[in-house]
Amino acid sequence: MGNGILKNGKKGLVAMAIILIAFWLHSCKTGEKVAVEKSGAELWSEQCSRCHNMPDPTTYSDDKWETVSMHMKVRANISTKEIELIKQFLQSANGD
Amino acid sequence: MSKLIKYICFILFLSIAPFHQSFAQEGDSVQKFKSFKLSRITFTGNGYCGFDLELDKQLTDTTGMTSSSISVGLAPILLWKITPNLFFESELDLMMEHGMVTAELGYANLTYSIHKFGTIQVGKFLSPFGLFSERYHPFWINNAPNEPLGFDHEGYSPQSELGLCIRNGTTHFNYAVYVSSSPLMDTGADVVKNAGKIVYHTDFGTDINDKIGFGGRVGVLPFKNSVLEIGASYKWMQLKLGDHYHGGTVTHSHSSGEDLSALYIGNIYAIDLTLQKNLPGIKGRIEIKAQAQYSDAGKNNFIKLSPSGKTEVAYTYLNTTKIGYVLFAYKPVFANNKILKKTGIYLRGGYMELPLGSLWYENTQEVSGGFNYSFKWNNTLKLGYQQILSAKKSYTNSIMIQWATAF
Repeated sequence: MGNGILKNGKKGLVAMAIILIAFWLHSCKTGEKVAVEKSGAELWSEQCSRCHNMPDPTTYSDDKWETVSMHMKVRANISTKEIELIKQFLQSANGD
Repeated sequence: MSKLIKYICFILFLSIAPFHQSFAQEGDSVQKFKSFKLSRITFTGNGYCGFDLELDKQLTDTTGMTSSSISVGLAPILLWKITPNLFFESELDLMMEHGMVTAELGYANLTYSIHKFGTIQVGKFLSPFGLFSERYHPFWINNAPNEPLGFDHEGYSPQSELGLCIRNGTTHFNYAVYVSSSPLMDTGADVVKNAGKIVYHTDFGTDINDKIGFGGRVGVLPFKNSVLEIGASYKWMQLKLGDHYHGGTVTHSHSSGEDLSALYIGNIYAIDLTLQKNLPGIKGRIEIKAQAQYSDAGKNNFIKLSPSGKTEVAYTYLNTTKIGYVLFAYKPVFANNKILKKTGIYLRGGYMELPLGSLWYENTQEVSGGFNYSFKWNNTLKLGYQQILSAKKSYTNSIMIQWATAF
C-alpha cells in the first residue's frame, strides 16, 4: 500500500511540475501585454469588483496601499503589472 | 519519501530559477526599501455580528421548535511588506457562536514575489480550492449572511493548507499549485457519528497529519474585462485516522475491530464560475457565483454500537460527498436615487449529499434570498431568509440579520 501511495504521489507531483512549467511559460509570455492597454482606474474597477465592492482610494495612505495591494495580488492572482497600475491609481487618488 | 522530497525541491527550483533576473529589474525599489518603515505594516481586518431565528419542522407535523442565536466574529489581519518582494500576512479568527468563543489562526504565511513569474507562499494559507474558501468567505464580501450548505467552517470543503504554494496570474489566466499536509479522517472515537468525516480545518497551524497531499486550481478569464472566470480545482490527500484537538493529534484505540493504521486516499474535485457584469439597461450590476464539488475517500470501515447498545458491529460505506451552490445577486448601482444604488438583492440555491451508510448521512437542499444595504463600500447590513429541506422530511426556516464590515 505504501509503495502504491508513493507511486501515485510521484505521478501527481510530476504532473504538477509539467502543468507548472506550462503555466509559467504562458504567463511569462502574455502577462505584460494586455495590462498596459488599460489604465489603473479601469483595472481597479474590473479587478476589485470580481470579488467585492470597489474600495474607496482614500481608505489608506500611500504606504498602506503598497501593502494592501500586495495582499490582493496574492489573494486574487492579479499579475504584477496590473496590480502596479491599480496601486498607482489608488495612491494618486487618495489625496495623500 | 526521500524521492518525494526531491520532486518538491525540483518544483521549487523551477520557480526560484529566475530570482536573479527579478533582483536585477527591481534594484531601484530595493534601494527604497533599505530602511525599515513602520507604515509598511498594516493592521486591517473584518468583523460581523448577526442574529438568527430558526424554526425546525417535520413536514407531517404542524408543531415546530424555534431557536435563536447571536453570532459575533472578528478577524484582525496583519500585513507587512518587508521588502518589495517579501511579504507577510496573517489573520486571527475570533468567533462567538451559541455561547462558545473560539480563536483560530486563519492564515499566516510568508510570500516571495518573483516579478512576473509569480509568487511562492510558505506557511498556512487559504485553500486555492474553488473560490468560496479563498475569496468569498469573509462576510463583508459574501452577499448572504451565512455560508452555502457544506461550505461553513466545520464543512466539507478545504479551507486552509499548511505547506507551500506557487501561484501566478495574467489577464486571461491564473493558477495556484501547492504541496501541503493532508487532513485527518475522524475516527469517531470522540463523537461516534463523525466516523469518516474529513477534518479540513486546521487550528493554529498544527501539522495534524504527517502525510503530504497536493492540489491546485486553474482559472480562465476568457474576456478582456474580466467579467467571467471559470475555474477547476483538484486536491489529492492521504487521510490518516485520528482525532484532532487544539494543540495536537490523538489517536484512540476504542475498538478492537477498527484498523487505526489504515490510510485512505482521498480525491476532491471542484468547478467554479463567477460572472459579474454592469448592465446600464437595467441600471445595475449582476453577479453569478457558483461552485460544485465532489470528494471520494474510498470505502471506509468503522465500528458502531448495535441498536441494543451492548455490542459493537462493523459497518462499511463509500465515503463520497457532493456539495454545491449557485448565487445570483443584483445591485442597482446605476440608479439615480442615492439610497437605492446602495441596495442589493440575492438568491441562492444549494445542495449537500453526504455518504449514504455513514452516521453523518444527510441529503439536503437549500433555497435562500435576501436584501442588502451598503452604507459604504466596506459596511453592509443584510437581511436574509433560508429554507433547508432534508431527505428526512423535515425543514428548517431561518431569518437572519447581519452587519458585516471590513476596516
